[in-house]
Amino acid sequence: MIRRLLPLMLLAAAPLTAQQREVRAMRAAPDAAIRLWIPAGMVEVEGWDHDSVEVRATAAKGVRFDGGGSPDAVKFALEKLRTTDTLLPSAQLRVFVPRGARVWIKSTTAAVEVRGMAGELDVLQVTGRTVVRDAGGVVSVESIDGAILVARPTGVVRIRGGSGSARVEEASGTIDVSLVSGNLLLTKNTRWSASATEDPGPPLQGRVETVSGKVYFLGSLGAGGRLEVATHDGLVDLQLVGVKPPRVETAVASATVAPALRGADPRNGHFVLRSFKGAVNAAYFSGI
Amino acid sequence: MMNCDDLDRLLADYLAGRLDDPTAIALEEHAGGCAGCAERLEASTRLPLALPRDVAPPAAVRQAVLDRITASRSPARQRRWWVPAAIAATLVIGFAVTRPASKSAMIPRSANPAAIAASRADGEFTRLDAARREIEAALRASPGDADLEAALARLDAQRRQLANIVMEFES
Repeated sequence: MIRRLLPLMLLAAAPLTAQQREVRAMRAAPDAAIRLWIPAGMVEVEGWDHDSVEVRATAAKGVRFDGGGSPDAVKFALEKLRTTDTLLPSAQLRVFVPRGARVWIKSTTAAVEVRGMAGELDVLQVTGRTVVRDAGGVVSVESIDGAILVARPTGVVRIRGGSGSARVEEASGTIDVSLVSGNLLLTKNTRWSASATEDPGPPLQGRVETVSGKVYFLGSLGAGGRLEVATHDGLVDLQLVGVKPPRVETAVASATVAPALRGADPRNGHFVLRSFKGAVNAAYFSGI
Repeated sequence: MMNCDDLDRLLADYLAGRLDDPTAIALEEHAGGCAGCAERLEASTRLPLALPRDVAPPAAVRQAVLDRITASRSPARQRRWWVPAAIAATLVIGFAVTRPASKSAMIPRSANPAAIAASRADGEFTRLDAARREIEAALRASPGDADLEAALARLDAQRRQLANIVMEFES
């Protein structure tokens, strides 16, 4: 009896868990403007070497995945089928875009992962995490309290956030980070050693500001690099490595700076640290 | 707009079912957008679920306890034995009725991106304002200090940036 009823029971249960899967593809210019509005779920964006956009979507029940446009401008969004639904529209998206495209992603809680982009990327988030890897163009992430990771960017990185933590790994361009209580971890040339022959790459330039967020830096800026850090009362902790010490200038009430860093040549890297009442610690390790 | 301090202040009344609907909804919406408060609320409502239910003592033990109570209590106490039991029962029933039935109750009733964004940014605006007051006080002591004025300008810029992010979700 159960065996006879089982298929019927499964059929009856199917609509409750049904998800809509679809694949859409369309031609797109190499620098097309692509806009994605994904309130919840997950969106992965990957740059590829084709003049087209392909979206593989699995939308939750009760959610419509819609979009389209011209080769120059494409837009995809999730919408609730019934306006009375109380949950955020959710979907899992995998999107392939021309590497040089200008991509704009807006999300409330969705996880956003982007890799292999050389154009412009603009992510607007509330709480979802944002991960950007190997971006070569301009990366802008604005998030109220979502965690942010930007790994190996070679262009411009701009981060604006509130309480979410941010991490920028091995940046070799320009960074501009502004957080309120979120902490920032910056790493650069951490694989460097006195005996290494590996090219450390272009230096890091930029500025960082927080209110109470802590700022950690590990590595070296590279020759000619410069980083300005300003905080209200967040800790600033620099763990610096390299053959030649960078210069560290502070305008801070409570600063512990290794003697080798005070009068060092700024061409080896230059930190300028300002704080209203936070503590600063700058340690230097040479010949590692 | 409710914040974490409001939730702390109202939590006991919420758990006891003493809040009116709009306040209870506002509290739940805040908890739905604030991980810390959601955890606190969930922890507060989780406790009764961990208590054993429908566990009756063995009949012999129950009878022995009742016999001893009957033998030892005074007439005045005999009349009042039910008072603490009634209070306890009222509390348990009240709690069971008013507590959220499940985790789904923690989801904001109106999953509105603008409301979530505003609630998440609330604490950050408070931090920015507190920092600004400190800088202003320092500036009163050292008028014209260029570093302090620059710090004030930075804070104002950060406030505008955060407000702009919140506003993006209102459209």
